[in-house]
Amino acid sequence: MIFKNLWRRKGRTLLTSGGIAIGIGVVVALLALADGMTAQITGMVSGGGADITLIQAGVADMQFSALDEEIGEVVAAMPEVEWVSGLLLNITSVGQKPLFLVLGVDPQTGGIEHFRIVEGRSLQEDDEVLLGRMAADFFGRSPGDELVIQAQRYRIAGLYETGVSYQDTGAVLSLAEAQRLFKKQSQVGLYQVKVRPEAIGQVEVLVERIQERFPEVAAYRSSEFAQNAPDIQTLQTIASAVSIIGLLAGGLGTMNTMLMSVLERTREIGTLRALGWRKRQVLWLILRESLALSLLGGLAGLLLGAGLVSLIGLSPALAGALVGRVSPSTLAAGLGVALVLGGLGGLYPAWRAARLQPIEALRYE
Amino acid sequence: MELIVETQELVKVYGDGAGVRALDGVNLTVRKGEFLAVMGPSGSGKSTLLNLLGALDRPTSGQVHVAGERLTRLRDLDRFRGRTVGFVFQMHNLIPTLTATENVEVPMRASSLSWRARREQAEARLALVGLSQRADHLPAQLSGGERQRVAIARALANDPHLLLADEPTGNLDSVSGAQVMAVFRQLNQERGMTVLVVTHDPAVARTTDRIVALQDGRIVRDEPVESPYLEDLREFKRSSLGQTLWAGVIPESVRGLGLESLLPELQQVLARV
Repeated sequence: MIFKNLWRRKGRTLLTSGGIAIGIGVVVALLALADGMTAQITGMVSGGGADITLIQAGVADMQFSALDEEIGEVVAAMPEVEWVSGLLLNITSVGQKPLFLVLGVDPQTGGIEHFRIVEGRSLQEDDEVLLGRMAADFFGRSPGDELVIQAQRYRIAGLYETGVSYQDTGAVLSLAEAQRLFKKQSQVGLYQVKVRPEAIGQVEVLVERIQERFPEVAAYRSSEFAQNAPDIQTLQTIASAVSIIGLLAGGLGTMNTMLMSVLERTREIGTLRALGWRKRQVLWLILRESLALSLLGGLAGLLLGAGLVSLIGLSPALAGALVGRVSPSTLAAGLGVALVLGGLGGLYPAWRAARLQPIEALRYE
Repeated sequence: MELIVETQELVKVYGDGAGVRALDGVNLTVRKGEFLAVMGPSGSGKSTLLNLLGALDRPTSGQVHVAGERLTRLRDLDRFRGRTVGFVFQMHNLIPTLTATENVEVPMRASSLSWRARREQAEARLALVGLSQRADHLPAQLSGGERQRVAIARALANDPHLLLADEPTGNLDSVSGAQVMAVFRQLNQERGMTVLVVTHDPAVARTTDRIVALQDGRIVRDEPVESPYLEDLREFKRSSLGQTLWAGVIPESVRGLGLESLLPELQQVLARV
């Protein structure tokens, strides 16, 4: 009965579920992007086996983080610490890629192990650069070729693979050179800290100790860093805001459609009541229709969202920089939101329908 | 014989203050197994009476008892509407997206019957009204008379004690209307169903066994229907000409047609009906 009613006004059903689909699609895409970015960042900061990550407290973006090299020296001196590696991040435009990640890493420290060389060799000079495998494919370069970053020429020493697309679509310079190029002398963006195997149980304590010693630093376990990273926080805030607005629109659309449907069927509802249907049954009928409507939109929205994420992945310019990961939980979340939309949007119309007095409803033209 | 319907000084007033007195003290009794018509012009209160009997509305004062239930005291009106009475509306009021069978099943949704049992029962009801071959048709694919018969089958869905029909032939042509009334007659004769039909059409009323005439909210006549021809004679007696001739006067406009010589016998005949 429910589906037949929805089919009665095909156009209206399609429009409304279309609206919901767009809303859910956006939510799913944003969730997927946040998910993907989280995975990327985790991969990045845990690279080389780091246990603790340090970032400047209170920054809006990882790129803006600036930590004094002195911090690195003090932390490296701590007994539980095996090594400390400073990381400088900068996103700049290189060639056809508007979002190109350039990392500055100290070749003398453990952090460089993360960049597994697949062709050529590792960094030896400051005028050399390591290029990520995916970036090399995009630019069509090999070891020995040249790469220009911000009007500076660098010779490609080797190609690397990390498994993290952010990094594999980027390049690595020596820390000193990166500091010079991006005018961030004596600074790093992040510190990666590896704890000695025997002190592995002390990680939490160590995190607190570093935090106390340097209040301008925010210290986290590397595995937990991503959730707390300012970039993710920002994305999540934007995602929530956009989602709420989109869902509000979807919910109002559903409510409007159901209200119109109830109005048009006033006599029908009067008949149902005159035939013995209880208020409760009428309420459920309308509510179930609303849920079916939003479910339809939700399923379409899942496809839309997944499609959106794939589309971004196909764009050569954005691929690697904006990575989405569509997991079952993301899909379930999208569907769940759609059902909540349907339930809430249909509540008022259902209540209105149930309240109709049989005699008045039967008289309705 | 048990009473299916009993009303005592039933009054229904619409509006506040100088409201409309739709029913002005109606005392009606209906026995189980009767087939009757409640007749009257529009505004006579017949539909109001039906709505009160079907618990679609509440009286302003007075009592209504249907199948032993005192309606003003009844708490579960939905159950009453679904089980005790079966309603047939003037406009068939079928749900356009459902087939005939599915429409008949609608009142059964409240019960705890299984899907299969419901289906079987619905098909049985459709057979009762002679529409088994149309079971899977949508209302749009049925004629007016067929739709109304589906509505009757639907009213029978939960084996009600009483069928209430509000102008069931009002929107039908005379042939379909006759078919519908024939279905009521069959249900009454073969299954002992008590049927109360509201109509403004004397021809329709005469196909039942008893006519209760309403005027201005009151019962002005309550007689069994003997024969249509007898009814026609009575109609004539009630007409303006009949009343005039009955008084022994031949009006100007009908003089010279030969009524003068018939007048004495005519008066005797009219005295006997």
